Amino acid sequence: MKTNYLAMAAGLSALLIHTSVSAHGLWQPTPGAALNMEVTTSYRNQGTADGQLWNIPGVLMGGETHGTEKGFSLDSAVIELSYFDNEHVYGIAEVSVHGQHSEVDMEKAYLGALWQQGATQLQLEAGKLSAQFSPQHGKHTNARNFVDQPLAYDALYGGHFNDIGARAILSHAEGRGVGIEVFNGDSYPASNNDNPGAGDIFAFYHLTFDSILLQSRVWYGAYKANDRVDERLTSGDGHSHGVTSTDPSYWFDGDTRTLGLRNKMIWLGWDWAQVNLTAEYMQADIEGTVRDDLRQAKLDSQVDAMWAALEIKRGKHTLALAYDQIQTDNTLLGDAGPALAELSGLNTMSDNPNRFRIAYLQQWQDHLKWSVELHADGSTEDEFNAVLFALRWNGSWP
Amino acid sequence: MKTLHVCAQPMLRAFFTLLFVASLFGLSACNGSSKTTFVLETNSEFSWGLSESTALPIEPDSNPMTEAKFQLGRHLFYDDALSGNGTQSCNSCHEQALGFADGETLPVGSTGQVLARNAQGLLNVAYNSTLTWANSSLLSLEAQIAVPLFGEDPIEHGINDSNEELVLDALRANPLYPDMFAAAFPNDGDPVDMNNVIRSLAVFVRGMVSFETDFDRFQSGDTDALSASAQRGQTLFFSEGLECFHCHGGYNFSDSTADRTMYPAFIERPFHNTGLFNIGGTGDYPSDNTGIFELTGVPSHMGKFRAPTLRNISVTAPYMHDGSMADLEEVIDFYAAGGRNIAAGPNAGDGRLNPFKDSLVNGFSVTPSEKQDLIAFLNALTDESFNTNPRFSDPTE
Repeated sequence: MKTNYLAMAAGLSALLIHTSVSAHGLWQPTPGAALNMEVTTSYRNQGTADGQLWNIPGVLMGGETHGTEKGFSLDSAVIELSYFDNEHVYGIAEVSVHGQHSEVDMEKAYLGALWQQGATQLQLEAGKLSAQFSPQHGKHTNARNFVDQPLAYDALYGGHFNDIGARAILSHAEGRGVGIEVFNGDSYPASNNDNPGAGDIFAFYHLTFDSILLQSRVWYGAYKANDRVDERLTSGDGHSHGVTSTDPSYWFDGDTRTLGLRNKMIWLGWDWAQVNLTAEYMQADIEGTVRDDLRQAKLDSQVDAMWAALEIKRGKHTLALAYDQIQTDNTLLGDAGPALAELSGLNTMSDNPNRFRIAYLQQWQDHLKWSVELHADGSTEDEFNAVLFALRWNGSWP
Repeated sequence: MKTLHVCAQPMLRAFFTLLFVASLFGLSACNGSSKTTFVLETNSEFSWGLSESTALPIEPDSNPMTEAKFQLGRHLFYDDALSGNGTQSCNSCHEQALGFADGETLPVGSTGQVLARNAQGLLNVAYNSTLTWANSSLLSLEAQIAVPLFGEDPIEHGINDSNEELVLDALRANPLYPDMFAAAFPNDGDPVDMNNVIRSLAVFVRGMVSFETDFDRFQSGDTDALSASAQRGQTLFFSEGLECFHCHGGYNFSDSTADRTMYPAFIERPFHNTGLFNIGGTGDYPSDNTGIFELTGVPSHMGKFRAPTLRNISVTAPYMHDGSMADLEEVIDFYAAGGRNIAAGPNAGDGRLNPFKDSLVNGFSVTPSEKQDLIAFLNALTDESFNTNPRFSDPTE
């Protein structure tokens, strides 16, 4: 974290602390079984991965960050089955298809237990989990205003972070809480760990200032990578977008540490509309070695990623604007640095990768929503503008 | 989600408010420009004459490249005084117009002894991960150059303990050398010695690098640099059917390549048996030329030699380690057959069945026109600028 920003923040924070603050939150699931289904499909006239492997310049990408392609796409199809007994125990399983791939992934399959003592709640979960340090991780396409994830998640988490592990969350009814997650470490940015190789801790807090609801969250994550390859080149599942190589090309060994802040401000001051402002800032420090069959160089990288979104909701209508930006500062030590940077996509471009999007969404029917998005995409050297139309359906039982 | 409405603790309230403000300021943290910085471990003062995108050769710490050493080495390379009887220089077997090969089947040493192996061209020798045809222990030019200078079997330059001082005296007597040695080795009291001779020659030979062929120009985007025939030949060369590129691949057209970007532990030093011989059906090669078996004594190493670069191949005939093939057509026929069958004579045997033959030498089928396409591609690997570059020429002419 850049100390100068924190210092400024500390100075200004006193101005914002209000004496009549109040806060919210405990999870109360409905007992019994439930089935939730979501489908999002879209058409776009241009994508980031048209005929090529998408790589945000300056970033060692991987995981399931496949970019987008021109044409129709099944962006997300999700089936989630959950069961919660009347006491403490619950289980959740979720299968999904994401993006323009054909394979079905088991996104989640875990058991959980919930205890509540007074105003305090303890939640324990184990199995295949979707990380919860930021609520953005658990959000499916259907629940987002924009079909695509923020660039920050593509750059730092391979789209999203799912892995086998366990977590504990301690919440208080006042809306504050802390959590810890420990994972095997087999998902980007971690890979190939014998012992738990990934984990994070997070804390959250909800506040209310008169007509403003503020939801704040901070997290720290650590991920260890051994022999990490860009799985988009080697997975053989049709994700390579015209790149035929099954050669992993390069490997990364090292550590990634991330620090993140998320804030959502909900303003209820207008009768005719609700205004939400969400902002996330993440910083990743990456240290390790990049190598290919012959060469290796030490990498010391800092990635600063941010996104902010403004959302105005009135009845069935939503207007949203979002801006993403990524800044990388890479240092490669060793004579192989230039060659490996070229190979792995670590060379930066003249401008910081960025993207500006506007979306209009309408809840057309109870379970059907349509949207149109305009993108000014500068995530690669080949900047472009695109239009996207999307249809989203969701259903549930009972 | 059920929410409750209660009062918050002042400390936590302050902390999370601080976080909110910090995140807003964090957004502005991306205002700078992205950058990737390279910190190179070795920096060379020497002017290699290569493009920035070309990886530089490994430069030993014990003998850094300097222009003064390069120029001294160049003079020594062409000087007959650098032999026991004053009749032979490096240039005797390494002529620039022939890519620094000699055009002979086998070279002849200063005392008339015929060597067992063909004289190789010297283009980009600095990129070889091992040196000479078959010696897994020769990893530096400094070590290799001592072999022709002082070797006793075969005798090449013929320098030995009895004439070494005479050779050095001859160098001292040349009015050019004292100053050149002093400039090249300014910290040495008496710089005219054999160690510095070897260092200077090594610097000169290491500096003989070039990537200026039609193939390189084509790779750089000049689509007219390769004829249609050569482009078809290129496709054949890099095909799995012919397998050529497995041993003669990479930017230097040899699988025995090293440069300073490579991690030392990853550098490969392979040797291959191509099925030239199979004397008596036991896999043997002629006893004076058994490849790295000569050094290791490992039976499976019989007949294994380093795959040389194919750069300048059109001017470095005859071919193979024993110079036994006169032209490229014969070489292609040999590989198409998957080895050589010698029907009669002391070396009789079917090399195609050599038990130690490399599995990639399986034979293939090409039409006469495809063979011409292959040759057109191999001709496009000729580096005319290297073969005529005054920087590498005899300084006395």
